[in-house]
Amino acid sequence: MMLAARDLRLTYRDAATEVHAVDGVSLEVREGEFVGILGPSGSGKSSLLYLLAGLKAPSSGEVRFLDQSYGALAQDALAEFRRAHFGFIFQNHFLINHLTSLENVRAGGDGASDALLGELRVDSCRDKFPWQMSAGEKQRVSIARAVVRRPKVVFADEPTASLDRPNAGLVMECLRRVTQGGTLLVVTHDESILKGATRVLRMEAGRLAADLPPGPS
Amino acid sequence: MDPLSPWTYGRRNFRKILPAVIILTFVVMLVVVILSTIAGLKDSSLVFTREFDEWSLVFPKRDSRLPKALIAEIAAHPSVDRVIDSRNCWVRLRTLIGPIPFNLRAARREEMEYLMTRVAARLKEGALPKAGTSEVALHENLMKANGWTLGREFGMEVDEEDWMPGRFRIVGILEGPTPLGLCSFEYLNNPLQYAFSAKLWERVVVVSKPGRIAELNAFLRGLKDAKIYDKTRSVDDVSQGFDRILLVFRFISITLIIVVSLVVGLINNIFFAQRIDEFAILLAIGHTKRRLFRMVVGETALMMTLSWALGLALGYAVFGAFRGIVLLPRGIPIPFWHLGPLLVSAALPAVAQGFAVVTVIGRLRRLDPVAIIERRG
Repeated sequence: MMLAARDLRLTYRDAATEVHAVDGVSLEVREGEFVGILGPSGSGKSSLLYLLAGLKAPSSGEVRFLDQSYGALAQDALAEFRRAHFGFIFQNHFLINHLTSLENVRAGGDGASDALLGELRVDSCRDKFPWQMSAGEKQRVSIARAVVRRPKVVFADEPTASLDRPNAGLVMECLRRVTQGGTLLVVTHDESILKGATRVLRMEAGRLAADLPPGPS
Repeated sequence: MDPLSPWTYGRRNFRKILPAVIILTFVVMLVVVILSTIAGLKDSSLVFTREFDEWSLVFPKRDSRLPKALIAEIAAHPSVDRVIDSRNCWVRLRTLIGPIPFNLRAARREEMEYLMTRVAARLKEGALPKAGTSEVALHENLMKANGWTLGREFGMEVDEEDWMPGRFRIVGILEGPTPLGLCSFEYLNNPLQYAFSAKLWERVVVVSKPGRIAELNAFLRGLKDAKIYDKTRSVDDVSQGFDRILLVFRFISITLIIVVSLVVGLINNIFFAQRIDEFAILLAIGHTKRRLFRMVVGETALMMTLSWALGLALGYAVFGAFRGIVLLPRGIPIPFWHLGPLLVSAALPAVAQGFAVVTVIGRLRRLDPVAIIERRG
């Protein structure tokens, strides 16, 4: 199994309360799968994604990727591990303002940055800074940054949430195209963007409520 | 080029870092100008002690006269080349820290030439003082310092505020590496010609054999019935005043370094806070904290180095102009390069860098990329 989680829990505590953002989730993801994670706000879908991506450490449980347990890696080693195998896309593009599109992609790693920008139809933005581009263009550049090293898994957290419908469709189409053959995990509350997904996980109150093939959209 | 290189950041964010660069540049400039001037002034005043590399003065301890046996004992010492009978005579020398007395060597004509040879002095203009006259010859730096020209007269008869009784006339200008002043021994020693001669204590100029001044001074310090004025004392006299001034300016410089470093460190911290999204995303996509730390250190180092280089260039330009226009024409031969100001000014970016690095380490250690990403949506 490529990516496996066992009895994952993420608990936030303060003096008075205890919140289980992720509560006993176990799952496995095979190579090449396109997995959608759906659920209402606060259901723990983003938290689950961050745990699976090694961006957050679980309160208990274990995540393994290619048989490597994240818990066994030191902080910097885990960062290197993420860099070697994963790509990330967030709701906000998080492009670096003083870098051009091309440089932002290169900040993600070495690779065919120029070709990728062309593939994502933002080659005209090659030398533009983020503040000179539209929201859709910025998100496509952030996709280029995520996949420039040809990662084995791409994690996307609400990648279209800040876009209008036509732009959302374009971004998802681009994302599917450049991650073809790779594994893609997408967190969203908009089921319509999960067209072509091999599985859809439904989260409710931190628990995995359903693990199903995608329904008609 | 690496998009995350300090150079790219500095070039693209020049306006942002400009205030910190300007502050640092001007403080480095201030430190260079002030410390170069103060340190240089001390060095330029120490030039007036150079003659004591060749000879020392011996005065009577209790009486106004030195015992003949004592002079004979001194003359017989193997480190002594010559003992020259002399008298007291000085000019009021204007310096940046106020007037100081500069002693002339009262000597006979042949002895004047001998003393000049020993300190590589030459007659630049005019003539040496004639025997039995109130004529004097002064080194060109002394002339410049007082703004005097050939033919100028000094002494209490000319200006009652002067410190030297009588009237003296400058007839010669000397040049060479060692400031020297000469006057007639015969004139100062003759009560019929110089009414104040009785009040002027005897002294002898004890000239060492070349390279044996230390041995000579050790011997002279052992004499019971005489006082000695040598290189150590003359340097002490000059240094005392300057060391106090330098102490004050060092304190000011250190305070300035600490305050400016804190300000620059604070500005750096604000920059870091403004770029927190950038660091969060870089961390999320797999850049290690160590790499981010190196990146920030590199950016800060570039800013500090740039400010220091600009500050040095500006500082030395201002100091050079001040030296050329104000100091040198006034006979203050202040050296241009001095290690002290360079080192102190280098401490400024170094401390600021240290402060910035320490605070950034703390912030980076606590940085949780997910918290930032979730907050920004």
